[in-house]
Amino acid sequence: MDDAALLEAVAEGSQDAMAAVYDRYSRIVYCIALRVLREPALAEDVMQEVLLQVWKRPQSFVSQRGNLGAWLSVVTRNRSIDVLRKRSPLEPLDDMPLPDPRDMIMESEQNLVLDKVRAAIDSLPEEQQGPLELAYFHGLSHTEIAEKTGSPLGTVKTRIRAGLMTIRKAMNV
Amino acid sequence: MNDDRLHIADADLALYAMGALTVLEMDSTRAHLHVCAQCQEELRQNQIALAAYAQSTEEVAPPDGARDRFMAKLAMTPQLHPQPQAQPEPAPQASSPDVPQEPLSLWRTFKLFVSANFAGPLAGALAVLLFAVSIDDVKFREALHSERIQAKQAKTDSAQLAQLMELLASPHAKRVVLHQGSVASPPPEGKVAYDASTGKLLLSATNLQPLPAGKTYELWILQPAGNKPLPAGTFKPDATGNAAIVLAQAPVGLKVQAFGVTVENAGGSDTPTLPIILSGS
Repeated sequence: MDDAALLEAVAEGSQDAMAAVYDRYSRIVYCIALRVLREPALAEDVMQEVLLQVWKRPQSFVSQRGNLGAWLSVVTRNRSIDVLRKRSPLEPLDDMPLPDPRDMIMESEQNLVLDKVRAAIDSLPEEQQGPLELAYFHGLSHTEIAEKTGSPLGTVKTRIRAGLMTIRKAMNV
Repeated sequence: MNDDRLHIADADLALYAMGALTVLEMDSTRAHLHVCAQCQEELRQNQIALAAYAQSTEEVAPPDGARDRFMAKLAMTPQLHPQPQAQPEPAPQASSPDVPQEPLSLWRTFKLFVSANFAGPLAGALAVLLFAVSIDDVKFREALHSERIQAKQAKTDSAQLAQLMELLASPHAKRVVLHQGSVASPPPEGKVAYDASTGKLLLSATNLQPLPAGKTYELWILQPAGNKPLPAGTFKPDATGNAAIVLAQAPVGLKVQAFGVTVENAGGSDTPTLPIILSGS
């Protein structure tokens, strides 16, 4: 059963369908939450929360379609950063921008594209890989990264942008 | 983003997609995105790449028993049915399915309030009030009423700031430098405001020469001898020679000797390329 059919069934209240969504996406959701939070218990909490949102409001995704896994990945990362920042005295990110699910890469080409993305990330020089990781998975702002790395703010921005452009080129977007 | 209009710098759009800008920068970027299809497209491409970056994480199985715990919680969680009369917010980026649409709980009220711009200190104080005190119903309702009024004011302030940001960045806004007497061919001119205590920086420039393709102007913070010049943002003039960097975030507490502007390759440089075409101390 594809994601659209699963979500239709979830929207009709099928717990079995929701269990199938869990089986399909819990690993990627959990590992992203763990990468950000680095605490298994917190990562499990975020995984539960994100997947329960699919259960509570499946219509919000059914109406837009797209790649559920990619979209859940972004939501999980954002929610994890939100949790991380609430544990430290920084501003929350409830209004962090979310992509349109329809823009995500197609499931059919996902494995191929992700292989290219992983290779592109591995090819990044550490000076780009580090700031990108700090910004995306550690939730640090550009000024915090500049302070942490001792690099000028403009350099940090340039390196993050360069790293992201390498990923975009690998994906042809 | 290589036309003559003033746009959000590509690097800032990348940071915006990650939520890695300051609150003010997030607001000003969001305001610009509302009216700029070109920056929306750049953001969209960044978001696609970032989603793939997230997905590239090596998968790890959840802990033992996680599935059972999830299913147990699922069994106790009712589904929320769509409310036909409740329209989503007009801004597509703000629509976040990871924010539950539940009745106004204490926590959600707090989150709503904190998310209102410029409400941080007030929200913090209110959070202490709401969470530290054993809340009886009357006190809670009074606090909630006060909170709503102040949240409304904070939103108004935020909207005014967003409009100011948009005006400063607008390619359609007319910028005039006033001189004594008449000046036939006014020279390029830039004005910088920098607050060392917050690191906030603003540049407004007029009468700039157009740039060849692949080039950009870059602002530099020139520090006392022995310290490297710091890049403070790239910018391009519009068709009438005007440009601005609105509320950039520079390092806090710098001892600034002067500011300078150079022409660099697109994307900016780590070190200034001579000559410095505009400077001032």
